[in-house]
Amino acid sequence: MSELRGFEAVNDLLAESGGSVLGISVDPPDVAKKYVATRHHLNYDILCDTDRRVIHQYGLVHKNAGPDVDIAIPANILLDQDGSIVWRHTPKRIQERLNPADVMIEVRKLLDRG
Amino acid sequence: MTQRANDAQTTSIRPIRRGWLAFIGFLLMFTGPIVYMVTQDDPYVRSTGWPAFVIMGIGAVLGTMAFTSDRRKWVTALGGLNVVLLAIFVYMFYVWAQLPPTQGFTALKHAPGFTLANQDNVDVSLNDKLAKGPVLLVFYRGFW
Repeated sequence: MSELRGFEAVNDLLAESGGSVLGISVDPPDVAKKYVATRHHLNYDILCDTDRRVIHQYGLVHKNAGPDVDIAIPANILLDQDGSIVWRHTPKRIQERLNPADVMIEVRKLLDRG
Repeated sequence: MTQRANDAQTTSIRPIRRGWLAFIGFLLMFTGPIVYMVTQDDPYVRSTGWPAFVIMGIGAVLGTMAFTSDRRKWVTALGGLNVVLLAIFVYMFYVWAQLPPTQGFTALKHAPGFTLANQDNVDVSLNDKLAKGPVLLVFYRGFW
């Protein structure tokens, strides 16, 4: 969760070129609002893949992560305006967290290129 | 009576009694994970777990030191337990916590489009966002 707050700065940087950060989990909107967006003071969109459609589309399903519950495998995906994946990161362990500063470097590379 | 006799015997062979080290070590085995829980907001701490490993490592060393110089049963048991607790934590951290492989995702070159409700129940479309600029998608496990 801590890294989500760090991505606020990434969102600000992307916003300079009209871009944005989109958080995605299987939490329903009320949970995403109360326990994620409000608690961590996030200004970007937290999307709710409640029916697991998008995590299936992206091949990011952690089957039975909880008792009979499928959730997202954590992933960070940077897209250029064509929707092409220009950079991605998937942790190996659930505690592994990206340093938002490292993501900033990738975003700057993309913005400098475009 | 018997305990005292045993103690006297142990003392006569090994004069230094370090049972208290095992006890402090035992306390550290619980302090480590607690410190990790309250400091894991930092991405580096969260990823490496270093505060827990340092504190629990000291606990295991203290337990072993106590055991090598004080063979009373409870010291041996506590010293052994400290090592077992460290082993359980290492197992949880590195083995149990491993995420499943992501072949399907790795093969993706282009992001599939989608529309999902946001935290305010407003539909957000990836294509609309991309029309305005680049996008960073952050998939995360959940609110906890």
